Amino acid sequence: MRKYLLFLCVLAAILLTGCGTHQKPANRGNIQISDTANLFSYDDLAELYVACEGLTEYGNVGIYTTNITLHTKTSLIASSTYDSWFGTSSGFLFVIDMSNREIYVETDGYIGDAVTPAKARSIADNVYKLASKGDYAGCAKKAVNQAKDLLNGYRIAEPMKYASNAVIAVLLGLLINFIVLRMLNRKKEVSVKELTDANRGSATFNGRNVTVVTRHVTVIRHSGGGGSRGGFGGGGGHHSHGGGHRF
Amino acid sequence: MIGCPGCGSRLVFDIASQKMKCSYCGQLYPVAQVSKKSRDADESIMENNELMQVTVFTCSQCGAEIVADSDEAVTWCSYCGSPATLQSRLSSIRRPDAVIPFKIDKEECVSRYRAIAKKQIYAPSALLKQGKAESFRGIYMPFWSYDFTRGGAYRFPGTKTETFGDEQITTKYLATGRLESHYEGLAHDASLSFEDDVSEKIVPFMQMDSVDFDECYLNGFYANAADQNEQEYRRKMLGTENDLIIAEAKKEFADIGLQEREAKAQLSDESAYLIETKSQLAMYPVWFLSYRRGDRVSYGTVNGQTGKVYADFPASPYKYLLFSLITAVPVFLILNFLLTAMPAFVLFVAVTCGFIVSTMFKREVKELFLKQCHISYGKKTRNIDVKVLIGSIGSCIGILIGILAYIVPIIISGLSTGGLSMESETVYLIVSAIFLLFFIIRFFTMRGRYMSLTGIHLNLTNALFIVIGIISVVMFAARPATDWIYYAISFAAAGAVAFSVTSLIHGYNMLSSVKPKQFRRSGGDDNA
Repeated sequence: MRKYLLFLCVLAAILLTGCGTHQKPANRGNIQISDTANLFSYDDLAELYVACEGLTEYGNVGIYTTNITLHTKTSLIASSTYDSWFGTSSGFLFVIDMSNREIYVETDGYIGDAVTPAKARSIADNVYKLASKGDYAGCAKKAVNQAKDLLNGYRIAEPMKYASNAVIAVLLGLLINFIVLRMLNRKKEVSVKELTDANRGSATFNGRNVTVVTRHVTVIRHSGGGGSRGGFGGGGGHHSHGGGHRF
Repeated sequence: MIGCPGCGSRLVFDIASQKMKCSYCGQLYPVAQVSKKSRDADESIMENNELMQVTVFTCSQCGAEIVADSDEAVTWCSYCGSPATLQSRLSSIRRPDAVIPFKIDKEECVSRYRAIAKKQIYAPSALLKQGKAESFRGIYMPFWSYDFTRGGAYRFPGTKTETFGDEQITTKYLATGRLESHYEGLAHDASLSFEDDVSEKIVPFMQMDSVDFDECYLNGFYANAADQNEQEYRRKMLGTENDLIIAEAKKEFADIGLQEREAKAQLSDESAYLIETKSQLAMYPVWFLSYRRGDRVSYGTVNGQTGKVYADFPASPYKYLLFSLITAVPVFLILNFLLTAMPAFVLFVAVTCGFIVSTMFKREVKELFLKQCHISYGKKTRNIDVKVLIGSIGSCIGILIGILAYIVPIIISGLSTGGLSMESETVYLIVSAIFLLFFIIRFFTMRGRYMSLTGIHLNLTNALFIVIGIISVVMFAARPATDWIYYAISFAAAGAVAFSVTSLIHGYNMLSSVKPKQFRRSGGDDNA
């Protein structure tokens, strides 16, 4: 019982920690755009700055494009770029990774509270088609605008989420109902007790004589247990979360 | 017909009073009194007391035979439920030695059945409708009742392990002495028409209510004639008696940790222990309901003495799908709170569901096979086909590997990326490949004898899963960017899983019904 309560307490603590909310930043955030993949024209960059402006009241905004093959996942590129650009402060980073052909939305802090990993995945799913068509600036702009909508309390379209969940729900519905069906019709075998109660009779074991055949003594060695030692690592990065989509 | 001494009308056995009651004037008579008068008056009583003359009704549709009062109008068959004309003939059958009279009346039987039936949300409406339960029939079923007397020297081994501080002491014992046992009334049904699967679930009957047989008890009820000899089930019931002795032995030798298997093996040696076996034919009361769908019949039975209910409820595929869709609504709402799944994840879930359904279906088919062999699933019986046992172990290993296939790649993926991620196509690829391997193995190992049980369902289901598995592996390897390809494949996979679930329901319905043996008799009409 104690273990159960302890488990519940730990679970509640984890949930509460996870549900922690951030304060809206007092100052406007910075805008940082790095187009190393050369995907944007000057006009695109100007438009992107304007789009990002609306989001700076909630934190930093960044757009990063790359085409360097690092054999690294886009999520890791996004996470490390976010760390180096914004540290642990509130922010929104949109990454276009041409080597992996994947877009990724990384958020943290106050913006991260609104643009959760689930919402980041939805944003990525809503804009990936533009990237597929080669409209990278339009793709980034739409992603920033959708994040802005979420921060302003509006909803964004999430057709992927609903379509996926509908299919999963139907599949789970079928399985759950089959399990219920089998449980409802579980047949119990007749127990020995039932038979003993119903039938007349008994068994007796007369002249019982018990002898010890062998006795084996084993000494239990209690292992010392390997105590774990470890040092403190270097400063941690931001509590990264986000979502992406290939294009 | 036994007539009322007062008015001459028909006397029937009254459950509430446990006396004979006149169906016209309502007068009650003790069974012994009526029995004596009836014997004195009835000239048709046979000189040989081992036989009795009865009217046997034969169903023209399924060939089942049932015994009833000659005056009783038999309008439908209890075994196949057909409203057919039953042909009657006078016949001599072995006179039973004992009878347990009905203690539970029809009203009580119906209410007990309904208490269970109301929970059966998937059962066909025709089976649940108000009038169906009213068609319960009281039938005396013939049972062979065995008495076993044993005696002999026993040598039971035992092992006990105790821990004292840092020491663990394992002691092996040998208990010797003399076993003496006597059990009465271990019963097994003696009618071919009464399915063993059903009769084994409504036993036991309390032997304290057993009385000498008298035809009076049968008045107002149906009866079934024994068509299996006493040797047929003797060995099986000896096994049941073994279980009772072992249960006693476990209590007696709890202090030495009795090794059950060795003790059971010793008791199985009849020549060493069995002194005497007595058997008698007894009539036990059963309320009986049949529900026919095609060539299969589901039974609802209530023990007429204890009220224990056994009922098979087939599932209506329409109701099942309806409830599945209803369930899907709250699941969908909950998922929307918890999950924003990528389309690849949906396909992965579909493949996983396919694996689960395939495992369930495999188990179901084996259950069906064992049912045909009259072996309960999971019950350790010496007669279990070794291949089936190996298959069951293989299935367990398969499930274990399936679970590991889910967990291990996720952990590996988590370690490589620094955080657990369920959205890696690499994970999906590995797991799907393992599932595909299982689908292929199942396709080839479940052919042969299992095919005849489920027909096209088995092959089609397994083939569908292989197709789903191959497509999934290709998809996860190719990693197409566009969602609609995933969605198209996911919907197709979900459709295949839904179809497979209908195969599961088909298998379940086969499990919850039987093709009566009399359908296979010559004279029975298979197309009825």
